[in-house]
Amino acid sequence: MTPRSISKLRGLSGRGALIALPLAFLGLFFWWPLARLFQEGLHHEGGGLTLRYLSAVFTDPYLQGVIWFTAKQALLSTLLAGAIGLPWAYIFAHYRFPGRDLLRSLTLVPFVLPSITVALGFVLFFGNNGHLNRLLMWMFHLEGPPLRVLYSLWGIVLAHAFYNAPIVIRMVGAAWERLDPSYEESAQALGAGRLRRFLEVTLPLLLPSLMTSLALAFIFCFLSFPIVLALGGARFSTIEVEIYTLVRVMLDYRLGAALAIVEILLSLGFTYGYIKLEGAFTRELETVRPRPTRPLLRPSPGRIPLYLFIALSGVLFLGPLASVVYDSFTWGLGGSEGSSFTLEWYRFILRPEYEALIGAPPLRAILNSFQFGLAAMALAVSVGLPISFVIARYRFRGRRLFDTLVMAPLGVSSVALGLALLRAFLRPPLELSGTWVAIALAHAILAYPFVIRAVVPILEGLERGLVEAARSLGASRWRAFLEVELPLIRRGLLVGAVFAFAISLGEMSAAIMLARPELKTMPLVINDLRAARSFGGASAMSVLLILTTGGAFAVIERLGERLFSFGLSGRRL
Amino acid sequence: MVQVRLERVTKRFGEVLAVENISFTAEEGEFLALVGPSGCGKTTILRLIAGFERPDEGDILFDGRSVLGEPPEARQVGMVFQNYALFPHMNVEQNIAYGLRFRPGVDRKRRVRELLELVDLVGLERRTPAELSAGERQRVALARALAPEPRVLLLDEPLSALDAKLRERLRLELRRLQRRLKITTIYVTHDQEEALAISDRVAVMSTGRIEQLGTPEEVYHRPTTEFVAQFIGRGNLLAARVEEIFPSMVKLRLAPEVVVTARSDRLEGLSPGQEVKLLLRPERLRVVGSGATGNRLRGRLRDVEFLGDAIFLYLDWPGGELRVKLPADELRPLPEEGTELELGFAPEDCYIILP
Repeated sequence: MTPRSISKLRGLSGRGALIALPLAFLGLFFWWPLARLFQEGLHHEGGGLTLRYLSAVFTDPYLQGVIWFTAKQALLSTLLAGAIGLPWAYIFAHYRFPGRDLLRSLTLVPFVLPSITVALGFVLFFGNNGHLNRLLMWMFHLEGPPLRVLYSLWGIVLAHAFYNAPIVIRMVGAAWERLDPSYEESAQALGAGRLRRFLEVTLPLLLPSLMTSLALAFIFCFLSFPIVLALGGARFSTIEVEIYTLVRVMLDYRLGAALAIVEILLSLGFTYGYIKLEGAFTRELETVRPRPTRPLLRPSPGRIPLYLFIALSGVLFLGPLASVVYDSFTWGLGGSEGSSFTLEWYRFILRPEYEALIGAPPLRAILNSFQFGLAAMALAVSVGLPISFVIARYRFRGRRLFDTLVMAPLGVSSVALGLALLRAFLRPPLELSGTWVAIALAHAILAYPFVIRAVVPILEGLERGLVEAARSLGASRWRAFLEVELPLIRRGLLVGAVFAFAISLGEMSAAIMLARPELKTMPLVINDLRAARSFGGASAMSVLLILTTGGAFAVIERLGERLFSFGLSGRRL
Repeated sequence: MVQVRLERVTKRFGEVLAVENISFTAEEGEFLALVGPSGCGKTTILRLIAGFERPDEGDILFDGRSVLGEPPEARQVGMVFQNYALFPHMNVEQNIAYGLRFRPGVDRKRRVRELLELVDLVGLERRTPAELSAGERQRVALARALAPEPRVLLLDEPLSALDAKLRERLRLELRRLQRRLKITTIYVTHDQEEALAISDRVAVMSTGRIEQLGTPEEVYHRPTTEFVAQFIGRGNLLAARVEEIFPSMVKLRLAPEVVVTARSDRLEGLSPGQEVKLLLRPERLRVVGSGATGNRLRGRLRDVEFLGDAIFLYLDWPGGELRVKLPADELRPLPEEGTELELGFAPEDCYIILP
């Protein structure tokens, strides 16, 4: 045997391990639980196959209503996100003003905020006794709150718009800035007026970015959990919330599983549709001349609608966030009772007084969050790194199947994943249900795609000759990896790891399915305190959580990763 | 077809003076080229005429009537952009028909057909811009601009995206088309050869001003400024001092030992001792034997470029570098690099540029 064919053989066995190890992990902790979920939803108590639960999902009037409401709120939220996002995209593409770049990076904020903190902010700001209503009552001397949006469809839609408008702003804004003005000028020289130019030239050329961003927003709104849980009240429930209620409150595992099956099929369909949609729009237009911008701050009567829009959306975006921070430092309700600055809330959440509300001391939750986060990070890196190598380096028969098997978790909602993990490991030898390992596993499965996303582009950019050079100099494949490749992909690996950590910290949907009281994480504590209307403590915990996840994302940006495009594929905090 | 006149037009972008007090007239049916290096303001002039920019000062008139009050969509100009800006979501036919929708009473189908024939694209109606070659795109853009029968045609570097061979073919086509339609055309390019080849008159521009406006022969053979002499045709510009002035003749000293005679009918303004520039076109220089009389320069051959139909010689001489273009068969065998050569030129081929 020539030395060359020997090394080829060794490479093969290494390659086999790279393919097999992550598949084994996902097989055991994703595909097997998913299969169990399907089994549970499609079988009687006794064990016989049945479509009873599945058909109940479609025939039960209440569940029909839930599915209908899920679609309706997602559609309305998407439209509102578009209605807020499109004008902002226009502003970013056509105006210059001090702080434009800062504002542009601020559109990331909703992205990096755990959604339970956003939900809390909406309760505090838009609630009947919230800051906005109190302000309006004071300004116009009203007897009762003028805005009753909370615990209604509109509260959910508004919060979802807050969360998803930045996607539209970013994607459409970028496309608009890149759109060469000569297209519109051509139409103009040919005689087209302003409206026709917009409708016949600008809009069709922006359509790819608009459609993709709206499709993405729709998927996020369809699968959103914490916001609906917190803002829907008792009357409004989506599929995600209903699965949670069926499983964790009513303990109806079979109907919950059936509903989860339907949801998984829908979300996989959406994800597939989105990828197709993205692929259908690969028109890259050349930009010769940059789009001219004009100063925004030059008031004229014609600009009043523009300024009004900016002010209103400013209130929508800043109000909830400011409320969380303000309430975390405030004692009392304000108004006639007066309010005062305090650090009490921060002291409270670090002491065990809250135990009665949560079932565990809040400090424990903070420690839990960090423990689960670090474990999820380690797992996500261990799974994501070999997959990255396979994706970047190997072509083999079954590569498409491999891609599908490792990327499908992106299309499964967090609640469904939590449910699957909850029910799959009830008995020895792997009795993981009710242990912290299950939560860490769920978070690792949610997070490892981001490790792949961070590492693969770097690996693909590496010169192939580097490893060959190392090996021709005498290094084994393993040493070439350790001494050549690993140092070069370190940055991507770090980005992926920090991202995984941040996802785990902010994630609530899977955790709420899996956590026992002593396993509660920071988002769960916020949710409990919110449900108990202990808003000061919830706010203080939210500020801590925002600072931690925000810090993690700041690290990622520091590492030079373009956070937006990075986080886009699967924001599920 | 209209006459287009710019009167004392100035345009600033912030601090940058893009166009400075420019006046010129493109006559009815004329093909006028604006040529200059990038950033000289030529595209801005086109955009001012089209109405995409408003002048800070001055006026723009079509047939003597100011058009400053008219927005671009009302000016009836046809414009071809550098990147063509074909609407990617419409096919060839829809692109060409786009401007016809704003002209009532036009038989659209017939007009589109006419234009497809005009630019020789019949059969490609259903293609989208992405499915066209670069040359086809250029012709669609031209057809689209011409379809509504504009009063003036504005072309912004319409050939710069094409490779050299195609560029030469299309510029000839463009020229023929313009002759046939007799449409007033203003053509912006940075390529001086293209400008000379295609236009009735050329405006040579630098940094917001027109250096010279004239026929291609005028700007080539009788440049009025150093910039024009250098930008058009890459002439040899030699520093010279006026020695003696005769009727329609002048003696110039190029170097302590070198005095040449130039014939010119524009000697007013010259005085003995004055520093001027002497323009010698590379193709007017000849290699002569050592015994020859008349104007001569002696230099050392540094490089020889053989181009098939022509040879370029680069010579070092005390005043700098000389570029010589010869027909290929004039010098055989090719001289060795490093040899001393004598160059001769006629007094008629000397052109004096005042500083």
